[in-house]
Amino acid sequence: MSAVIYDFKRSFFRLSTLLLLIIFILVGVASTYLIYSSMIQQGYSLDQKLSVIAAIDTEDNCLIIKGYVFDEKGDPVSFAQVELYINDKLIDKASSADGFFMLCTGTKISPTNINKFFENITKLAQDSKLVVTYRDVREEVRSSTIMFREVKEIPLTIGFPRIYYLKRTLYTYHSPTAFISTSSPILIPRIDKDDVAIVYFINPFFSLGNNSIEAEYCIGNYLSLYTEKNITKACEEIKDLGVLNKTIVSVKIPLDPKYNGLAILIKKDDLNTTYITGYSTSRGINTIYLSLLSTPLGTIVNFAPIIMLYLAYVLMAKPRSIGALEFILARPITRLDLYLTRYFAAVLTGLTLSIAVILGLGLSTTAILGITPDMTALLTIILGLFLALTAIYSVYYSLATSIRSGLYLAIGIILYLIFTIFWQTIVIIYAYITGQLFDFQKLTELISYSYYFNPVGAVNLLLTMLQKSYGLSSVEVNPYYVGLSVAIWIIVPFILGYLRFRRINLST
Amino acid sequence: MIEISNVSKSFGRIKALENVSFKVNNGELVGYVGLNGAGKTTTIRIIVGVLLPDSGDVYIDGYSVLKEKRKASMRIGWVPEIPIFEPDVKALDYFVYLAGYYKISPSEARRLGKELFERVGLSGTENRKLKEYSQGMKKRFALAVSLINDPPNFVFDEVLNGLDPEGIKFFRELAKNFKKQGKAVLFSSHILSEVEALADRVVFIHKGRIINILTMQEIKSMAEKKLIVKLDKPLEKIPEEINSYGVPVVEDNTLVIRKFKGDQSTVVELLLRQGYKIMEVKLEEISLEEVFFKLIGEQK
Ligand SMILES: Nc1ncnc2c1ncn2[C@@H]1O[C@H](COP(=O)(O)OP(=O)(O)OP(=O)(O)O)[C@@H](O)[C@H]1O
Ligand SMILES: [Mg+2]
Repeated sequence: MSAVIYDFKRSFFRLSTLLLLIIFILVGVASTYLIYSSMIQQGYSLDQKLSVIAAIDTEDNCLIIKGYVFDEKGDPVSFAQVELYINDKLIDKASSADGFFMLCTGTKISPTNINKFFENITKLAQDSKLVVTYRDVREEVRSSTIMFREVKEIPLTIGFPRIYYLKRTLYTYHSPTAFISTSSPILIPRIDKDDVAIVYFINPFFSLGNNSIEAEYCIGNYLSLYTEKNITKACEEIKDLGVLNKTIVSVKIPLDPKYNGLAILIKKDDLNTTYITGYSTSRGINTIYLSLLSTPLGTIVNFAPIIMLYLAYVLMAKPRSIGALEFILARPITRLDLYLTRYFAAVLTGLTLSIAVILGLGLSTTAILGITPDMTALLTIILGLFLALTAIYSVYYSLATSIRSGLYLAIGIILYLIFTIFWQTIVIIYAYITGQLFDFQKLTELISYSYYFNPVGAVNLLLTMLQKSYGLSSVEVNPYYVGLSVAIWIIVPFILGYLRFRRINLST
Repeated sequence: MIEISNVSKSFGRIKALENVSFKVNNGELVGYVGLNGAGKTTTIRIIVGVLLPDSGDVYIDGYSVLKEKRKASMRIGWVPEIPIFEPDVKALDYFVYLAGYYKISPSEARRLGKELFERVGLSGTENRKLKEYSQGMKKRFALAVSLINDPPNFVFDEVLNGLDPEGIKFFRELAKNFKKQGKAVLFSSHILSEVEALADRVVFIHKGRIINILTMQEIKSMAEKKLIVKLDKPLEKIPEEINSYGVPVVEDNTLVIRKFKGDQSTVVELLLRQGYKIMEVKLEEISLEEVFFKLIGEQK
């Protein structure tokens, strides 16, 4: 055991390893900056941390606004200052308590004068905004109007167009597509353990008369839910939420990480309407982060195998070629011990590198983006990188046991180029030959699946699985195949190498 | 005790060893002598378990090198003919690394290392890289490493080769001490006279076969002086005085005095006085090397 540690130290604390480690950490930091600036470029605001949902309702013949404020953790915020402006004129202000606030628009309504009422509402929709201030954070929330999806004409006796205020931030649980469309008045400020989400949505009916609704929900693929005419076809299973009568309804819904779309189906009398939102069981910012992460990760994966190529050279190819392993083998160890020691020394180096690189990436993410990246995602990536490094090391190690060190370097570099830099090109050439090049979906799948046949494919495969679970990729990667591929890439060269090493003459 | 049992080894079509068997007992210094390429190094590499034989086995204190390598290796120290180490490591660090295989903690190994470096004459070079060591220094380093756990058996492959006189003296002392301590020591050389001063027995190897195993006594007796005197007629009776010059043997008209000591002219005078004519006088001196070649020659 101590020999493994010693060989590990010797592999890890060498200039080249440490230099590459530093380069990788710098790549991590630089990538985080790149991710940060591309988030800014794409209009994502990292400073906007408060999410707000509010709606206009009626009380005592007066138009009022009821709503909630949440912080970036999804907790309701007390003592947030909420101001209502109409035409930039301060109309009312209130302080939130347990997240809840209520404002008075000062507009009286008379249910008898429908036209006047409608006029007031339209004016509010156009001219009003909420300004929420909490600590040094200030958010402006403009109003929107609910679009009824399946109702073309709303009799005024039943309902009015509902004005609502909604601010979804990068810290809520909406998939990135949902940041673009704000048409659904659904807010998911928090997801508890077991993926149970606290979902807020706006009752489209005023409390003018009876505003109780029957609500159901279903989850499925966001895009299918959005495009399918008969929504039930795109649904996994429709489940009941019961009868609800608040202006802003809050319900608990278990979200399935497999899917990325939530539909809330609302029924009142003969009227049906559906709200659809994209969700992710991780905060939106994590999802965006993950989608942007594949580039820097790709860079690291492209260069990390060089370390393993080099370690197999230093630990096996070179000492074996010059005959230096004999003197070690004369110690009270067997050939298997020696083989294992130098194998695991590098595997341990690979593990340390993976952890250090990803930790560097994670920490700079926390420092620069101000978010804690999703632990599951980070661990998955660490695992992927580690497995990839172990597998490529197995390949190099088995080569190092059998061929002289000069040839080893030549073959090692060629394999490196094939498995990293030229891999996609090779797959694209293959796609061209087999005529799959111009089918984008097919090509994407082909590239993803090609990594089963690549020793460093584990990172890409696990990243694809992650991105799929975040709704960022449509390619289904079979985890069993991933395991099988990784196991074969690690074990087969390892055993072949040993079979050779077991008998080989270790002198020059 | 080191026991080599029916070991054969081929490198491709070259038969390096054929059915090699011999023993090195405890408290015994055994020389292993043969020409270049005879198979000494091959035997020794098999003994220490770094080369696998095609057949046969080696037992170190009864532990099979093939089946119980860890236990066998624990009981034997080895100084290779040409020691090769990983070149970029500092000497003492490498020592500590190797000591780790004997379950010696780094701090203890460091202390032991300094002590052994001192003993083998390497003190002051602890922090040099092994690639900066000379051949002799490498030998000394290997010697220090072989002493890590003070094993009861040692094999030294051409250990004097490359050592300076001081080193040779040190090694001789060491070997004698090992003998006193009851250790079994095998050391190879291609020069018989090199092992003369130390060995109790010598194993001769030629072209991969053991051709003879002789005690030093037997070898020395073969490496005698002979006085050969050819006379004009057969010697009837060996004169009494001749016996004090050695062991006389008569063959027709030739007198051979084995283990000859003394002055040859007095022998000639003696015979002349007896009335013989001396046809030829030859003093044959067989050196150890000649014995060696003779042994090999007999084998041809
Ligand atoms: N690794 C090897 N590959 C091929 N042949 C080898 C190898 N090692 C030794 N031999 C051959 O085996 C035979 C015995 O070599 P060995 O090194 O054991 O001789 P030696 O008695 O130690 O010689 P020297 O006195 O020169 O050290 C020689 O013919 C040599 O060429
Ligand atoms: Mg030799």
